[in-house]
Amino acid sequence: MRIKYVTIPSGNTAEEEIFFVKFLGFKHNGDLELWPNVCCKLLSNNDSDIHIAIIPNTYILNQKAVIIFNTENCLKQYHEITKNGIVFNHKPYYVSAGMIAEFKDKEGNQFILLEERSYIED
Amino acid sequence: MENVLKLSNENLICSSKLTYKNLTEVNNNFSLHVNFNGNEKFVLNKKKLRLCPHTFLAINPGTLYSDIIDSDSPVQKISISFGKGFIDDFKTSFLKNDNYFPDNHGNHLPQQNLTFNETIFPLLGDLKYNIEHLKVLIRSNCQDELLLNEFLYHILLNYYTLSQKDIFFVEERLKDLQFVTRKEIYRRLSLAKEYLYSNFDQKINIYELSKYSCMSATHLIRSFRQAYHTTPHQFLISIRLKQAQFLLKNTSYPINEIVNIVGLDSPSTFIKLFKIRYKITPLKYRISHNAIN
Repeated sequence: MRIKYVTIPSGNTAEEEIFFVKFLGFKHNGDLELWPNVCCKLLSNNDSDIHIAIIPNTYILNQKAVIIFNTENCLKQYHEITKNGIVFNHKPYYVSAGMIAEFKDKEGNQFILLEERSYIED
Repeated sequence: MENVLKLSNENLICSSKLTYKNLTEVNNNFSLHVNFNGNEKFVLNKKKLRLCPHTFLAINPGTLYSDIIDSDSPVQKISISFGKGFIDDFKTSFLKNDNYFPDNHGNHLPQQNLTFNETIFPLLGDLKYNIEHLKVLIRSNCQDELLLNEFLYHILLNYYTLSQKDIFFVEERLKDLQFVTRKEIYRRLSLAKEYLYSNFDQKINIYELSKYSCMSATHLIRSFRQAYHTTPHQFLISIRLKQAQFLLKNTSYPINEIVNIVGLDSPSTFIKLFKIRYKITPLKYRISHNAIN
């Protein structure tokens, strides 16, 4: 058993799809009926085989997603996404897991860039 | 090979891989010098220092210094010189946004007049990560000033955090002493540490060390233990083992040669100390690292 789809609830799935494609560099992989009468938009990028499934949030009332993207270089990724027009909640900062930067989409779903760092001296 | 990148705000990044260098100049701006392999000597005013792999040196503006490399194999390093305006902006933004100070250590407000400690530090934590990322960017010929300055801001922040933590750590342990005495002891202990970093491969005499750090031998050992929970000798052993670990990972030098390079007495002492510290023998450590690579 493995995780294959991560759902993003959205009131406007077309707009959410544009957000992922234009700002985050994802590719559209088609539409899929994941459960009866609910058509999801599937997206993916080259870095993972886990798909993003944008689902109409009329079915899941007021739920927000928190997605954590793992990155090798948080500052560089932050810089690239900022250049695409995304406004981050804060500048990148440090937590015990490493360096993170956060932003939200129009729906209020939260996205976190995480560069995991080991602070244990080997 | 030397790659110098001068940004429009006077920040300067110099990445080099040299076997020989002999430069003497007055440092115009605050600068950080990071060594990745090999040895590099610095003369700062009258202090003779040596940077070994994965340590760095901070030099304040106005300091006359010499940077000397004379090595059979290329020494890889990065020097960053921060423009005056950039430092001023850092101070302003830093002081205004203290609540957002990453890794804020216990609401210890920074002084209005930020000063930098001109000494050798180990390259650790976020500073190590950000310097490594910067090294990759420079190697890929990145010309994006916004991105490079973002990294330089974080590197300066990491350096400041590291040096403030060091001061804070020592001052907390010496809190029974008067403020001025604490500051002075911290300064002298920093001298002792930089002497150990610079001469770890030599036979170090406690009296030479205490003379360099302007303390009596007894006072030095007592204060060092109180401040860092270790003795100067144990600290020296840690530096030697760290350097030995680097050589095991990155070279094919035989164990006997590594023992000589890091200034330890005998292979048996080295193996014993290494095993106590890292819970693995040097040979197994080398094999496991080679297997990963």
